Amino acid sequence: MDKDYQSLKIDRSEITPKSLYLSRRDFMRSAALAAGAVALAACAPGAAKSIDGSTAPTDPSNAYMDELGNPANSFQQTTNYNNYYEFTTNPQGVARLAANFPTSPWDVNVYGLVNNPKTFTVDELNQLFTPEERIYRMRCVEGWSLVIPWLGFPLSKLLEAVEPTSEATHVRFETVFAPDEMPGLKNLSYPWPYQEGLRLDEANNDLTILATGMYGGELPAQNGGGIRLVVPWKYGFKSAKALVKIELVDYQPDTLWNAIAPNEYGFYSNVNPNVDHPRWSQATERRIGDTDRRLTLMFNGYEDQVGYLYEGMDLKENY
Amino acid sequence: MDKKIEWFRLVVHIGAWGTLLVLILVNFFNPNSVNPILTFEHHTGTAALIFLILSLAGTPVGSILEWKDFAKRKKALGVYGFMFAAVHVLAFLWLDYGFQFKFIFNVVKNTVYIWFGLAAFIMALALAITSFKKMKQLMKKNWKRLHRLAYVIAPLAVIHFFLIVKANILTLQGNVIEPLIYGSIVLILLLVRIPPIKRGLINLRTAIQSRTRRPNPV
Ligand code: HEM
Repeated sequence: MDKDYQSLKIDRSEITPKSLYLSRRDFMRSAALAAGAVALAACAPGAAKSIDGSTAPTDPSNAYMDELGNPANSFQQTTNYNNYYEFTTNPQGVARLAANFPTSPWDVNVYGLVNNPKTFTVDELNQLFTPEERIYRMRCVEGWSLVIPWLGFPLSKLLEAVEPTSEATHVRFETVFAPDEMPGLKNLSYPWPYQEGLRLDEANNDLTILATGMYGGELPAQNGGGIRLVVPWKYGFKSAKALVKIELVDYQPDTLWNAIAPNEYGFYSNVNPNVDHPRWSQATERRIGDTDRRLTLMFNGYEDQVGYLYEGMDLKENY
Repeated sequence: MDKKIEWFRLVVHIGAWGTLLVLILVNFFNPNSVNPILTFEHHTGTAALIFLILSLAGTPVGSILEWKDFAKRKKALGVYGFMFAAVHVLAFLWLDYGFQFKFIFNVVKNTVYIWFGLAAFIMALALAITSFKKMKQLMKKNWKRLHRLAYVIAPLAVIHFFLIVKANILTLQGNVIEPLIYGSIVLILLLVRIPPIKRGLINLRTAIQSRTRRPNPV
């Protein structure tokens, strides 16, 4: 394993338009203000409202844009359609089932091959590593995609704080197992709890974040609150939600989907239009809200930032 | 039972067109429908499968449960199954891929589940266009032979479904419950056609009927 990995430095302003940057405290304040405004405007037509009744803290429409000029999806779209099998396999049913899921306080245990293992609360993490806005494309393996303005901090900052030992090569992520609150966990066809993994250099890439909010506000339960991983150049299922454990290990961790169907869901699962899933074409995708399909981009459009991680690797073999 | 309004006939026709209307409204005229095209594709596929299964149920329901009105509608149910499959395919070609045949060709070529869906669809098409009385008279023995394909269409559609869900069919891990339910129903509907099983079930029915009648003779 190459230990001289490097974290590609990106000028923040490249990712986040300055005008959209909000510190955690600022956004808490603006969220509170916006919540009040929304409460007043709740009966007005066009108030962004999801079916579980939660309201977008800020008006998301055309305020956000990714670095390629794609407008972000609306809060309503992002919160009402996603895969979260801990709740249900129906992507339209997650929001309703997650409506009462408690996301705060939230603990996440960072341990394993580290010098400073520690259990953090999400509030602590937000204080230690000021969340920044990252507007990322999210590509689902089923052929649809979203553009989402996350609030989060680079995972590398947390790793720096816990100091991985020299043996650590990979990071293992584990999602909460709460069958009383997550009805999907009673479905025994899955090897719960949800698990994911990254190579240490992938985890340290500046694009990899832990998100604790989105659209300038809290991270809704259906989108992975209290805290989730976001790895924008990989298919959506790699970005594990509702994390309770982050473990540094010296092996390639099992992942839930890889355990179910190893020939279909590889460890890497990088977005790659040239490598079809054995059952689905990955050449095109539909951005939620669009009528037409669009071409899927190599590494979901993040090739310049992450291509170095896979230099010399056969991406057909390492799918 | 003499002057009967064939209510089941009404149920079939209203049920089919009503379902189509509801699926269009729920997906395309509903502000909470976030991914309408993919969802409509799923809904119409499921409706096609359900109507094909109901059609497959016609014969055994008629002979074993003696519900003759149901059996009489098996052809209509099958044609509606084909109708939903046609809407499903149209949704795929038009709504999903905008008739961009460059992409469609690649997807069909590389996607195994579509091969099974296509096989089922072509057979259903053949049965639908020969479903008229005239055709039956014209084709004579061959009509019966051709219409035995009905036993193959539903299993192919179930395989199509199994291959779409994120699951492992061999270990039954993943999102297997729905296709498993439809698959089991199809399997049962095929098994009850086997003569000894069929005879056994008919005897069981008459035994239950005579027992429940005894304390209260007509
Ligand atoms: C009798 C014929 C067919 C039946 C009964 C049928 C049934 C189904 C069913 C039950 C589903 C899954 C629904 C769900 O996941 O809830 C489905 C999905 C689908 N079918 Fe079919 N199908 C048929 C033919 C076809 C044909 C001919 C095509 C293409 C040419 C096709 C393309 C699709 C596609 C694209 C999906 C969605 C896959 C995805 O999730 O991305 N089907 N179909």
